[in-house]
Amino acid sequence: MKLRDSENVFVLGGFLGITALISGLVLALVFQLTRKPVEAMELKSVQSSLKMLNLPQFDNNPQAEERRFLSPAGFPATVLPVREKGKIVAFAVKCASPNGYAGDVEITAGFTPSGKITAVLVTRHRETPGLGSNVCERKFTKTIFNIFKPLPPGLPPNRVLDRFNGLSVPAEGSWKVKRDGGEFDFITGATITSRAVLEAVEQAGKTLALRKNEFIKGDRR
Amino acid sequence: MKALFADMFKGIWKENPVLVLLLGTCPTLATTSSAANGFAMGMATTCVLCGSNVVISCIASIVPQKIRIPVYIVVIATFVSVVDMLMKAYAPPVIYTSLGIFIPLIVVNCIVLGRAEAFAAKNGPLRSAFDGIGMGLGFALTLTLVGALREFFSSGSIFEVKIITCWTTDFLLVSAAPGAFFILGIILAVKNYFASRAAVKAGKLYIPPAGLDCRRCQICKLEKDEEKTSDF
Repeated sequence: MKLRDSENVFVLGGFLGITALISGLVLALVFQLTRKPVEAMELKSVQSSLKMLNLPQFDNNPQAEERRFLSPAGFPATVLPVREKGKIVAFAVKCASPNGYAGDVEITAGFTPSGKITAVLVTRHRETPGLGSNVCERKFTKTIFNIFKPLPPGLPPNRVLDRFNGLSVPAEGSWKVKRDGGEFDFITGATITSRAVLEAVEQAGKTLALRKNEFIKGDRR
Repeated sequence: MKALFADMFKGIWKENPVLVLLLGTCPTLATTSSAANGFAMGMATTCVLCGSNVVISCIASIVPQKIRIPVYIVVIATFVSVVDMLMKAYAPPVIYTSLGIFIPLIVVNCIVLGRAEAFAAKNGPLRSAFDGIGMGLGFALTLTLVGALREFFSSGSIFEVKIITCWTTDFLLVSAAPGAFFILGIILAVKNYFASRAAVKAGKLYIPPAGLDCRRCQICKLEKDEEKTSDF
């Protein structure tokens, strides 16, 4: 009997098993081959976001010293100390709020050692394009007239995210958008995204205020 | 050689998977928020389609008929995972994150399984490869077209380059899912209009593919068409 017309359960199962085995081997091979480039890609994206945070000159690899915490409200927060010659010159804090319009909104904020915000970036989000994404994205628009011109250097402006620059997160109380009786002006129609970004920045600041000493202690050795 | 290219070009226009066979509508609607996204999705599908077509046409003669669908799915899923990993490693992060879940979902894209069943299982590896490339390119071009139209009507830009500089507020209807339905519907209508006009000019009755034939649909009656049929 030919294999093609076989109806024996063991033959069929065996065939399917062998197919799955071969496919598994192929996947394992490709995974091994792409592991290094994937890691390099992830490292590069973290480094490029660090570069955009307006941090002072630094010489360490902040990612190697990162430590994960839970913020006071229970959001995952990662603190990356930024050092120059072993001394802390700034912090970068990643914090994700689960209260976005479509899942997590992750921000990365730069802080001076005293806790002032240098810049805020939204590093991961899935908000509605054209609505919630206006709060999150920093992009220079290319037009047909400057298509071949190089982009201007520095951080592209974003009305909402630039509002945080130079502020420190208060130890007591919390930030609120204007609609909730606070003082932060946000984009109409994207209140949920705005709240999530605000919340994440606030939690990042509070986490840093609580954990800062653990990093500075190591400095005095 | 000529036959091979015929296999390829039929996928781009005459048997275009989205516009004629109406397959793969889910990624067409979901991933075309911009021209670049549509293009990336189309190219990823092309790679999967070409690879799976070749492998399936090689193994089709030994696969037991009873379990051919699961075997094909395993092959397709392998290629999708490979493409997913390669994109993660080498594609621009913006593209990879915005396509997100839709790359793994190529597994259930009916174009891929449809071509495996309808073409690859019955033809040799070389013809299947060309068929896969053609179908994939047809899919990619359509997705790019839908994406470009949606991007243009929502923000006045194409491939993230603003064509109309003073367009500052996004038109959300087109960039959201309903806009994708509108745009796809309009493209289908335009294509059918030209196809039927060309058929009338050639003196033949235009017969739309089974899925698009209004006369087999009970929703609206086209009496004019019935009169015409009696002439022939």
